[in-house]
Amino acid sequence: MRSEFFLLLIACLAIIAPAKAQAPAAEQKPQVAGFEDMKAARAALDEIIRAYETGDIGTIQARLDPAMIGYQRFLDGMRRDTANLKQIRLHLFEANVTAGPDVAMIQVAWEKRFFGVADFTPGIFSGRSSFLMHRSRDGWRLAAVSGDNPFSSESGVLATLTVMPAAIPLAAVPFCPGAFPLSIELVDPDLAGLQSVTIEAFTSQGDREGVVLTAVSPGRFRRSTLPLCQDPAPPVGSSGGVEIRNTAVPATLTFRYIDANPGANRPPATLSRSVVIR
Amino acid sequence: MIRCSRQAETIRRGLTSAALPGLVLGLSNSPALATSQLADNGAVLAQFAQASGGPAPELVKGEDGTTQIEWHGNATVDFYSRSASGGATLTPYSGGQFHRIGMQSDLRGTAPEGDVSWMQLALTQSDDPSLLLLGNSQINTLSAGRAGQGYRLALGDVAVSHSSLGANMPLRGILAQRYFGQTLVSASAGVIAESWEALADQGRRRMFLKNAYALKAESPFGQNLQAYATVQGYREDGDSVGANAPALVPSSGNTATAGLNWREGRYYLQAEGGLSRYGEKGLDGHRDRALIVDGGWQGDKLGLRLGHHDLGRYYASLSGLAGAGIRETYANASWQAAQWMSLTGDVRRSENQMAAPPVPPPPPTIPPTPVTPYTPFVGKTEAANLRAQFTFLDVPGLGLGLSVGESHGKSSGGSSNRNANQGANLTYMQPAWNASLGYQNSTLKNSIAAGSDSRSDTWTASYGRNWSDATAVAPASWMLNATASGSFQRQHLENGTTSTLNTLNLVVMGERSQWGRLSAILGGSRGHDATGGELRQHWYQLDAGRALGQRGGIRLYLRAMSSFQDRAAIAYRDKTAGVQLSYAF
Repeated sequence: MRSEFFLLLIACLAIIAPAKAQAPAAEQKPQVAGFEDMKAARAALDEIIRAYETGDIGTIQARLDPAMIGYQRFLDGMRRDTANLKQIRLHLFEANVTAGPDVAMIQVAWEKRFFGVADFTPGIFSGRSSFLMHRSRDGWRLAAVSGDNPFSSESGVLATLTVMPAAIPLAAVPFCPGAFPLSIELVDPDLAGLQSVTIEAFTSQGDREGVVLTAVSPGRFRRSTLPLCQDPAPPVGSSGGVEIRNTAVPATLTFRYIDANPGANRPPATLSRSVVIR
Repeated sequence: MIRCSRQAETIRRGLTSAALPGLVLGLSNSPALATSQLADNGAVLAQFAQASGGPAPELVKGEDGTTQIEWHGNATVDFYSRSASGGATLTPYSGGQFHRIGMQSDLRGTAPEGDVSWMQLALTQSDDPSLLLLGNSQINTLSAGRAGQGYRLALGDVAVSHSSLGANMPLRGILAQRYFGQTLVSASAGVIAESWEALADQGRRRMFLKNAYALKAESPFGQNLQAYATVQGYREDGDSVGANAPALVPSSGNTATAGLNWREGRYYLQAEGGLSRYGEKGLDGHRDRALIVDGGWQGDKLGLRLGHHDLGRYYASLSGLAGAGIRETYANASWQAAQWMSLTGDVRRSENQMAAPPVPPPPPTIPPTPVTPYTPFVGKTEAANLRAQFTFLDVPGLGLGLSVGESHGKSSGGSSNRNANQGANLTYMQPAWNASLGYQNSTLKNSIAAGSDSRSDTWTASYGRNWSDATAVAPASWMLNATASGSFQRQHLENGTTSTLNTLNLVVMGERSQWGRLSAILGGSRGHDATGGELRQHWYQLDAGRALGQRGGIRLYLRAMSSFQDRAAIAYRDKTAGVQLSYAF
């Protein structure tokens, strides 16, 4: 890929080198975007963000092009957010703006803070996005959001899966039946509104179980203990607990979650974290 | 802005090769530069050389005697003190003394033949973690290039905008475009990275670096038709992130597309089709396709649009516009039915193959553990929206907007959802005052998250008034504007509980020439959540500014927000007081 890159770089320069010998297709003054264009595009984006925070989806809808790919998914996701999440505050930082003659691309990191509608539990999502803004006759319009979508909790944000600790001494694992204090947390804004989610746990010894995580705030699922125990007998699958055959350690316990919509134009992605038992 | 056009000289080289540090230093010397609004080239270039510490661009006498250098820019410095409480989950702000320095420089040279060379740089330096989470400085924009008749070359931050299904994204690299006769060839290559700092420092990366290229050729066929073809690809660098990065497999993708734009009289059509190959390291690859067609007819009072988009789940492109896993068909019409009424209607059917799946129970154990295949979950949605706008000829300034929309969704897993919304907004505008009254109602039902099914009613009202000494022949020397607004929202959840939030906000802005400007905001909200817990918030903001000379300015600001202080678990507040100095040239 690196050699392809340099070949293309040379090709780019070759394209330009004798440029003045060529006649342009259309006599036009070259357009170069300036900071005023970038500022206007950012102001238009800020206006959309304020409308999203206040739940004014009608204003956003009026500023979208009906030909936008995923128009209805975008709108439905925003409406679902304004019903499920209260007091939404979207904080943008580390902004980088790239502008062309009629296009501006604003790259930012974001944090979205909110309270769940049912019990007012605070929550926070974070991600990185590129907002594509197009200049139209009536100003700058939002053409698309790529990367993690902060506006619509079902439009694709990459999940995070965390498991602590990463290593467990066999001596600390109770004999069956028993449970072990293992912290598992999954954050997937695409699943905001679900009360629980099941991820997969499997061991290198052949056991395989579903592990239910409970929502602690919209899109954030957690459990603090796992039915994990040791036994000299071979494990039994789908028994409701993860069994470690203590005569065959070290063993690896892996947790796996498939993020169906990870954003950034990425197809369904598998996230996994492993714990070593020795 | 500094504008130089006095002498019959042309800058042949140097503008695009100017050293970046020089430009940055040049900003710090801006007071000296500001003494001359209209300087000759020699003076500007001497200052440039002094600022950059290197030789100035060479000046060569031109043939037609016109050269134009423009240098726009500004610098702002903020010092502020903030107190904050509540923790990171509730507020992005932390307490302390902070500063922020922002600089922008836009240097351009226009050659006699009209070719433009430019170099743009924007920087932020701050010790406030709510502005810059990692590090304390950031390049916000870095771009240089040259554009003229039939060609464009850009380096740095480049906006690649080739097509909807091909490449449409920001890139840190190079972009070159040139006409060969009537055919436009565009090529770009570079790296997709979170920022320039992440590109330089692995410790600041949270995503893989993505090496990318994109090519496009476009040519007209007759007066009404343009056709184009694109090729692009990318590969994520698996070694580019540290051990704490998301547990993802680096991927690669290649795409080829072909499309056309046609317009004849009142009809127009845009279409593009694409084929892609996507792969994750160590896993089987996927081939997929995409097609979009958008067309329409625009009459004097009626406009019709029709479109169909079909993008496979594994369609991998470099376009932010190309949302994978979408199939939708829509019809949209705008009709100026009468002088006092316009209507906009939209119906569409969408299929979302990336919808959040209901989580299936784990499959039975079949040792050794096989990899679970991903089970596609398809969400189908049918939606209709109608908006009407009325103006009343007998009552100038009075307007009424009505909207109604509904969407029904079903999944292959048997779940369903429904969104319905209605709204009305009445506005009245006069030169000295304006008022509005609005109502919105929305209902949401979702069988896989029934706990949040609800109906919301929201009323909004506002009244604004302007005062000034403007007359028919003289502009205003002072003005005052005041706006009071309120919103009243009530949400009924299916489980029988209710939450309310009533908000009032008052904004006053005044400006007097030679004095400066002042704005004040005062607001508060009261209500309760679905558990019955009381919600109380209040906020205020004062902002005063005035010019310092022709190009400078000073601003003082104080803003504060206090939320839910009588509920310790969710209480947060922040207060900021600061001063900003600015200089523009």
